[in-house]
Amino acid sequence: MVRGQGATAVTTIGRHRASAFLKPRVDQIRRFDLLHSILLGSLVLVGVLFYVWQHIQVVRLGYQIEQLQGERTALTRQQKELRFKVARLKSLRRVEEIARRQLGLTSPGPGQVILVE
Amino acid sequence: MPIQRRSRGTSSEKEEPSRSSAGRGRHRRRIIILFFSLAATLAIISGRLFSLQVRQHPKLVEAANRQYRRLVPLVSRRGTIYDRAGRELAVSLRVSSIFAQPRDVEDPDRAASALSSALQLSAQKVRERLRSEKPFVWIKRSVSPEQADAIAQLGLKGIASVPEGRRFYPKQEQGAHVLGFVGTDDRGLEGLELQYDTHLAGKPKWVVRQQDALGRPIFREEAGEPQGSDLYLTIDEVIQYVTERELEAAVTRSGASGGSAIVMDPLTGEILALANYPTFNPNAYAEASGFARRNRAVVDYYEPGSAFKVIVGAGALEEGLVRPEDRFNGEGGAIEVGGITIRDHERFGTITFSEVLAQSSNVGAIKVGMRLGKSLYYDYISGFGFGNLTGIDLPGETPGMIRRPKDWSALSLASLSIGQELSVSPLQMLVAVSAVANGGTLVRPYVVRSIRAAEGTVVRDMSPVQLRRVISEGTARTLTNILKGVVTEGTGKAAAVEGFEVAGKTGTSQKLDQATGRYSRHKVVASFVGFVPAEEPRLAIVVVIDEPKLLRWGGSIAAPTFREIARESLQHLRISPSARGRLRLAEGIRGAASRLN
Repeated sequence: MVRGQGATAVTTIGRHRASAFLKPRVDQIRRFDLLHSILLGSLVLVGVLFYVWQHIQVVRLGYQIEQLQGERTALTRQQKELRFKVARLKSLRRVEEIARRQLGLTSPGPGQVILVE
Repeated sequence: MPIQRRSRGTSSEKEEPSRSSAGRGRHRRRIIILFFSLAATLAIISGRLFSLQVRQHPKLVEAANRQYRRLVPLVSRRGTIYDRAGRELAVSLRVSSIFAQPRDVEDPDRAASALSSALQLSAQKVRERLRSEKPFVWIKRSVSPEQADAIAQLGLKGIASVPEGRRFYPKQEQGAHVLGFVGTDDRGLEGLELQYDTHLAGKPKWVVRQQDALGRPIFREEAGEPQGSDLYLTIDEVIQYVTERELEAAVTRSGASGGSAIVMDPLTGEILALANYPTFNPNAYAEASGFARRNRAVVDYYEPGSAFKVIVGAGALEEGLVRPEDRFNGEGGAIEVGGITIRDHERFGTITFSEVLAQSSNVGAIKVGMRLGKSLYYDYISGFGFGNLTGIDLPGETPGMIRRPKDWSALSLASLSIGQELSVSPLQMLVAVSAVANGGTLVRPYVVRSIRAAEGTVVRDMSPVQLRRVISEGTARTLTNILKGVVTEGTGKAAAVEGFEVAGKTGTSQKLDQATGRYSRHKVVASFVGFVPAEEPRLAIVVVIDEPKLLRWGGSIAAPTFREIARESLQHLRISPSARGRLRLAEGIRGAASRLN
């Protein structure tokens, strides 16, 4: 009984002592673990957010590219239409008609054209 | 107390371990349950994942692709046709075409009324189309962008538009017979549009487009629209215009039924201009007659008449059977062959071989032909390319008609010596005379210089092709001098270009009357074929006027047309008059100045 009591007492005292001695250390470890966990969690969260953001950005840029391509196609088409109009206006038949009728010009006769070599 | 305390203490101490062991037991059970629950959940998730990721993987990938990837067809835009200086002659623009799916149209009457006012169509016709049993009907092809926008704003169910390429020819009639035209399905039907259709049309492309849930495009594998190759021609827009203008003037002035003219570089075979009159506007080709649309300079043939004396002369000179100064008896202007009397346009006495060509004596030419003989003459005719295709890159070319010597009658040699009993195309005549101009080599005529892909890379570059030597350089030189005489003192004086030496030959041939089977007295073909400057030829030109009513001779209608085309073309190409020509020109100017004073 005594031995048993003694042993119990020693153990309890030992525990208390050990507890008193270890508590700050355990708390420190716990805080450290918590910090690590928060940091790790944050990192994972940042990684996930970055991944998602990247995807959103890619899709957003995709829309922008598609819109710009559409604009480019429309402008290219407009450019072609304008080039066509220029070609039509430059028609020699039309130019000669304007030169003769509106401006009163005539074709140069023989000897009126001197080529400078 | 202590005992009590002890006994209490003892019982509590006894109870504590039993309670804690029971708690631990419960705790352990809970942990075990939790563990198995989690394990079971994980097993279910893993199983499901395995099923989705491994077993159903191909099926699900396909389903996903179907949802966000779409295969889109891109219709190829037809390539542009440019002249030799890069000026646009044929371009394709995107236009919209309006179509209907009659089954989806909710109120055909209301839709027909709205469409007819927006597209300026008959409401009745639109209504008929909308009531059609067909699943798809065109409402209007190639509408303006404003009309397409107006239709889109109407928001009619079952009515939509589809982009299509439409061909436009900004210079309208200019070069129409060379360019040809395309049908409503954007396929070439005539001219270069037909000849180079596979290059111009290009190939439609299929591109993968990623799209969101609403079907809006996010990505496309390839940007831009596919495009056919561009053609760069040998045609010079300015020379083409001058040729067309002068040809039209000649046909109108002479009251002719039509005419053709071609300008070619005799050294390379590059066609600088090719014109027919009447002509057509390829933007509205359906409104033109078949005659106007036909490229008669290449696909039609005619009897060349006296212009063909160049060939008999070339053969006789090459064989050494005749010299320029050899004299021939003009027989008083008539000769009888095979029971038929062939006459000259005037009575000649004794004339030299040079004069035979210069004055275009039929009697003299027949005598030269007889010296040459059937077999040799036929060899020269076919050697110069008659009876065969020239190989020009235009569709429908005629080889002309020439019978073999075994089928010739007693009259044939004489007739062929003056350009009858055979048919040639204006192009063949030009190519043959170009061989005289360039020193004796037959060249292949061509219209397309280069085919380039849309991004500018060269698909194919055409270079001059020398087919064969037909006469020696010496013969070509001698014949050129004789042909210069045609212009300076013969029948082709009107072809003379101030400041330049011109060589050429006139031709006036009677047309065969289909009703009587005899040569018509009223219907003729007047022509002139020649080259300039004679010593260093840069241009070979043929002018053929069909059935002129007022100016019926080659020398009076075709030769002056040659002169005008040559004069402006030489100016445009910045070709200076020869030293002798400059001297003559200066004398002319001084003379004019002194007359004014």
